[in-house]
Amino acid sequence: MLKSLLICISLFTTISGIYGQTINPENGVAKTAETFAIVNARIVISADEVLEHGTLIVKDGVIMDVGLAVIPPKGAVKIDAKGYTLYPSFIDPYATEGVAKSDLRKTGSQPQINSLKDGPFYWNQAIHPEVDAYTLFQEELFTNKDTYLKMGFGTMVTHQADGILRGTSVIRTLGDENHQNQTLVARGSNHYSFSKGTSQQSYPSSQMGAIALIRQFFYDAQWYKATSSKMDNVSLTKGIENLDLPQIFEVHDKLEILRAIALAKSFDISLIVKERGDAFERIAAIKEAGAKLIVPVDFPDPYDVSDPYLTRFISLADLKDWEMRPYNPYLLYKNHIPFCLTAADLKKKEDFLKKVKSAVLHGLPEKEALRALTETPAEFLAISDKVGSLQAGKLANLLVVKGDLFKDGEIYENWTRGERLKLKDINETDIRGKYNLNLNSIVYGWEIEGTIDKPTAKLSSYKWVNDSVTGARKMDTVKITPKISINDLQFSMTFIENKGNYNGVVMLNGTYNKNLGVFHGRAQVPSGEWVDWAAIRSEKFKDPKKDKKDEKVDTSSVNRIYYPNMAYGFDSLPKQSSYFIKNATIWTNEANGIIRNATLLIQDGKIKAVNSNFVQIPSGATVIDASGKHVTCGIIDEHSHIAISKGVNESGQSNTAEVSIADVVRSNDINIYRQLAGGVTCSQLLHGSANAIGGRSALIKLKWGFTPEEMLVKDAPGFIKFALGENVKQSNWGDQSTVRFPQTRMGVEQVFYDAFIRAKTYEETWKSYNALSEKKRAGVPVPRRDLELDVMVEILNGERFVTCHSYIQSEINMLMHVADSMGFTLNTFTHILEGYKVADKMKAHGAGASTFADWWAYKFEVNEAIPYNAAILHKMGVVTAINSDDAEMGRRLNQEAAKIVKYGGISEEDAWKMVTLNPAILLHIDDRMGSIKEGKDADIVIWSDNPLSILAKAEQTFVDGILIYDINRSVTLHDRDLKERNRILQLMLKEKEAGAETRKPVQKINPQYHCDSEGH
Amino acid sequence: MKALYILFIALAATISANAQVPSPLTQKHKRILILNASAHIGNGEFIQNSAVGIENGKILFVKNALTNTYMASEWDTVITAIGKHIYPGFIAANLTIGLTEIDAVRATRDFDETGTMNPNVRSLIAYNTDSKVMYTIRTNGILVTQSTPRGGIISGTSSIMALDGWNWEDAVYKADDGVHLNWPRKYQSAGWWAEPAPSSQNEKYNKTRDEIYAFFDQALAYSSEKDPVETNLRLEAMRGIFAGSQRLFIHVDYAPEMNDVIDFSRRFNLKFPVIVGGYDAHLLAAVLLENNFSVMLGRPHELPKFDEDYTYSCYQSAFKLKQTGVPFCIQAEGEMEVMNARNLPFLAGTAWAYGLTEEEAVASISLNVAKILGIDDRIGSLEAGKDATLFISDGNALDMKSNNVSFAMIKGNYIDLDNHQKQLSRKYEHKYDLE
Repeated sequence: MLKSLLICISLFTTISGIYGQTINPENGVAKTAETFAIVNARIVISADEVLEHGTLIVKDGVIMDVGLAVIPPKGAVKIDAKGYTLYPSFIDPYATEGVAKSDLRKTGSQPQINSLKDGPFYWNQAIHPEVDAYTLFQEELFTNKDTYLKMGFGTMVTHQADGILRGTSVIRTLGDENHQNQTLVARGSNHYSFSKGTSQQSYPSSQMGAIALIRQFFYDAQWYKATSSKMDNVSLTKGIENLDLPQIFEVHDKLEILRAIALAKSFDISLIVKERGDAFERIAAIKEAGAKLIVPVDFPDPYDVSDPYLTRFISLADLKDWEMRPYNPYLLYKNHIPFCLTAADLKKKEDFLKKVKSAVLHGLPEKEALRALTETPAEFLAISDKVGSLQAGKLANLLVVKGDLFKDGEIYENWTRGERLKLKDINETDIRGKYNLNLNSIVYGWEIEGTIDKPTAKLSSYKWVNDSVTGARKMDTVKITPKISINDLQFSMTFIENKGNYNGVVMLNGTYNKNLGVFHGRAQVPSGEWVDWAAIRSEKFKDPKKDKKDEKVDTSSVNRIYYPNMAYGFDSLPKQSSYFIKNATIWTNEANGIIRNATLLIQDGKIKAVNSNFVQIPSGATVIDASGKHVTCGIIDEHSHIAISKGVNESGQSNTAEVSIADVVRSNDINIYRQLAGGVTCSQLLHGSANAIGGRSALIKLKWGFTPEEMLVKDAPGFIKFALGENVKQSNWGDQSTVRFPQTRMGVEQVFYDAFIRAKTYEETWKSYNALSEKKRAGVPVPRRDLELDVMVEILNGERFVTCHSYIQSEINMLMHVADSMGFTLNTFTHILEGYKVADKMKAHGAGASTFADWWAYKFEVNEAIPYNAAILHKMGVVTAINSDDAEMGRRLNQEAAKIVKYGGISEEDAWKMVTLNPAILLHIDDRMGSIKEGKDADIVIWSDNPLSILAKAEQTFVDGILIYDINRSVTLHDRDLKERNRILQLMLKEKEAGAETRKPVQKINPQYHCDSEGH
Repeated sequence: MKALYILFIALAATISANAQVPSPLTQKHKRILILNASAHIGNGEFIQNSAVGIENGKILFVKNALTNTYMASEWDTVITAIGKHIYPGFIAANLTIGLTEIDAVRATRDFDETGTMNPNVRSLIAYNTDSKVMYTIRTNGILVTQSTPRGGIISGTSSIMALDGWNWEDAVYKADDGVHLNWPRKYQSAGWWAEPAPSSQNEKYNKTRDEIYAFFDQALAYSSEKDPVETNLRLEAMRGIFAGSQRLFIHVDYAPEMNDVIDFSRRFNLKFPVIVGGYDAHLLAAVLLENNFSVMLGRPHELPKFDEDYTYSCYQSAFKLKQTGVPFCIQAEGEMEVMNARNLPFLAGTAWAYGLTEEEAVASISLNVAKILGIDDRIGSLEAGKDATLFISDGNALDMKSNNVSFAMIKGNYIDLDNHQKQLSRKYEHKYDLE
């Protein structure tokens, strides 16, 4: 219905365009259509089609004809554009100009649980697909329109950049006449982001929450459409309707591009992603994902690097980012990724053309720059029939340019729907040159320089004087700087002469004759007398700038992108290889225990042979002599919060089973590298403990340099984080956080029962629905899909394991009762600091433990935590692991394991298993990790010493048979980084010398998450 | 040997009375000989097989047991410690031990007074000798601490305290040893911590620095007057700094600020300036040496402050500073610092793994600390004339897997090495029949 209406509207505009009919009543007599013929112009019809000398006819705002031999219609206003080039004007696919902002704000300081938006809308305030920018657009809010026009824009997609589902944009042309008729498409594109914007509603508090919310919204909308609901909900209706439009998703970094595309793909939505200018860092993955991008050009200023100590605060990542961003458009083009450019993100919009020219200097071909500003955005936004090129039938949105638009070019006119905006005069008068000026028979030398619109002049006054010594007469020259101005052909000049030909102010006015290069007019001399004057050009002006050579395009820097593009990033990704390790002391974690003087063969990412007598060393294998060294499998951290983007906790609700850390893995966290240096090869990235039922976890191999997708362990058993105690009931969140249920341990139990009992009903509902014949199904409403309950059902069915953050015995006991009564087993209690008090019960239930070695006393609930906990649990037969929960400690888990030898007298071998085999068992990955056994993953660490010794250093760490950390290579990379810093600092200094603005150094902070890192 | 037997029975009796709170022990033995332990003297020396004589709380001698003979009858108690290690009590400088119990419970946090210039605020009188956390710290060999206030620009005045005593008067080693000044940072973090914005320059840096100068100017002027007409508590508390009887501890990490600190120290002619933190101290070592600075280095177990730093930059910081000759020690300020204080020996152990010799690592948490705190005449090493504040570990005390303190004394008094964590462990081992 709506679609057909849209077609109607667009047909109508086309017809009215052609026949010049108008809907609006005219105040006065009717106007007729204006017709222009622009002749003698070079016409760039599109990026691929140029007429060197052509004519373009505009009638009533539309291009009637364009070609080499077009005859101007009668009555057309002829514009001679000799020496000028016509280009299609630009389309900005991503703006927020002129659109009113949301004014919903909560009052009071308590968390806002519910949406403030009354009416038939979605429950979450950040989801508002019903917001239509065309209803919010106000011309007076569009304060920088002049700048956009000066920068060459003729069409703009503008929207309210607020919230997660943001609603639709309006596509408008930028003409000044009749604002109501400037709309090209009222509902132009549908907008998304991961950020909840002005919404202060608690949920979502994290990026993974935003991702889950988008998913749930679409399931809700589909369900709503499929069932005849008794209540009308505009958000749900619009959410589906808007899918017919181009879909634009705003993100903040390269990893979010991948996240957004993956999310959209799961709903068969093809996205256009508005990126943040760093897509080049993960270009292969982005290309593979089939991305279409909207690309900003706000290339950063260089830093002020004059102080060495302050300069140190700028990370190498930041320096490299500064150098590489201008190459981003070039690299996208080179990799055949469709993209368009936008002025969005630019603080000074008047820098837009300068920045595009910079992109051209950094390799982007001029023609591609034009494409990215015209055809591509038109195509992305499905408005190619109206704008984007200078073909007949399209709107007369064109630029009149002197020179090459993306080099030295200047825009003289910007036409929108045939409305002619003159930024500069194409018939401008160039009076520059050398003249002889005759003022009432007195001759002056006269030189006019500067720019055409702002000329400057120098006047030389000659006077005969008697030399005071010799008495001879000679010519004396006095230089005078007069004030001049030219307006069209009328010229005026004022100068002062002291004791020269005159003594006082001389004022001239005259008319310029362009063809002859002659001025003539009248002047008033100091006596007040009016006299005649004239000037004749003797020499034409030579622009000194013209002699400058074109700046060279140098793209060699693009080969310096590291993986990841920061300190310790790889020049190219290391590959799997074969390694033969000999003379090693191998901690197998298997029946043969610790074997001395042993060998190990790694091949194809797997452990091929352990101390075998019949081993065949493959050709090309690297032989490593590990005499005096200890070899173990990699450490597995059951409880880690490294490598997570934008929030470890979705704390907006007490049950957030719908969120998943796997959606937000951050591959460029330096802590990945640091953990490798501590022998860690695999980490379970857990949701935090801000709520009873937290999010699902991600299991990653620490493959530094690779993408999040490549780090995620394939087919890893699913886990979810539960939590108990103070964090869940918000005990330490301050005095305001007292409204979210639960606030007591009593309430916590109810959250679990509620979730599981609802899940059982939910599963039953689906089961009975699915059991119906297709015919019968048609007659009943389809049940609603609930992502949260889907996960709860998985838990009930043993398809997903629980790892529960826990401290106090009472609640541990409680949760085991919940699980027993609901018929599932709790897999792991993590932290479990009072596990020793209920070790027998845990054993009976079948739960494992993953605990801190010696943490306590940081909260009231850990007052009875003891470092003997792990030993007691272990002795009671509970599978026990030692975890980190901390990026710093995570790289010393070998030391933490050694503490269990001290506190509780566990054997070294058993203590070592607590950070390797036992976490592998708890994570159900002990068939591929956790010990040195043939066929398991080649996650291997070579230690300088007994790994439990304080003196032990991880010297080499292999992940999947890739040597991913090497203590010596680390030194090489460090030295390379220092040199790279120095190279870029030099570039910055050069830019500063060349007059670039600089910014003060800043240090980008790497977020460090713990369990109770509140994400709100 | 008879006496030794009696002593151990007495200790065992204490232990069997399961849930008792550890308390200072009364002790009759005045002359004690510890034989055969490997002695880590604290000053860099090591005696493989030592004899340590103790009388009336003081160390009489530390000798080589192989080249000297001893008569058991001359001693009240003889303790043989074959295969064990004896160390001077480790000193945990710059911590809030005794001033906090449970970090998340505000009522138990007594280390951060409101206001910016609080030199008159003293940790001494808030030092809680009944802290349960304290008992778990000393069981790893940490016997003395510099109990230090936090917050503001001048946090307050610290005191050096034993980790044992009936009350703070009992426990005090040196009251009001120094004032703690938190030098402002040129960079300030912004944003909120889950999504930190880049740190940017602290616009108020110069203003804060000027405030510090102004305050010290005032304090200096005040201190020149012996009997001021009006007493100013704040300025009164600064007197010792200028008289040289108290140290000024300046908390600063980075070079740009450290340069200002050096200028500041020159301007006020500080006799014994101490830098606390000192991440960049090795960069400015020459100037620091020239101006008589010492450095109490931050935790080796910290993440590097810059991405480009070596992954082990903090592990290695002690070694780097040692190479420059600047006097230094290791301290453990940081997150959850009180409960983590018991890991101080392992911080030194890590510094050993990354460059210090073993005995240098021992010194970095014993004699070096005592020197910087100005109490090396009394503690810090196993040397004749010093207090018998020492402990015996079954194995190497700097290594987690062998640190096992079986005996400790402060000023010659045995201390109870039980703690509530051990008690809880015993309680449940008993329940499960694991004993």
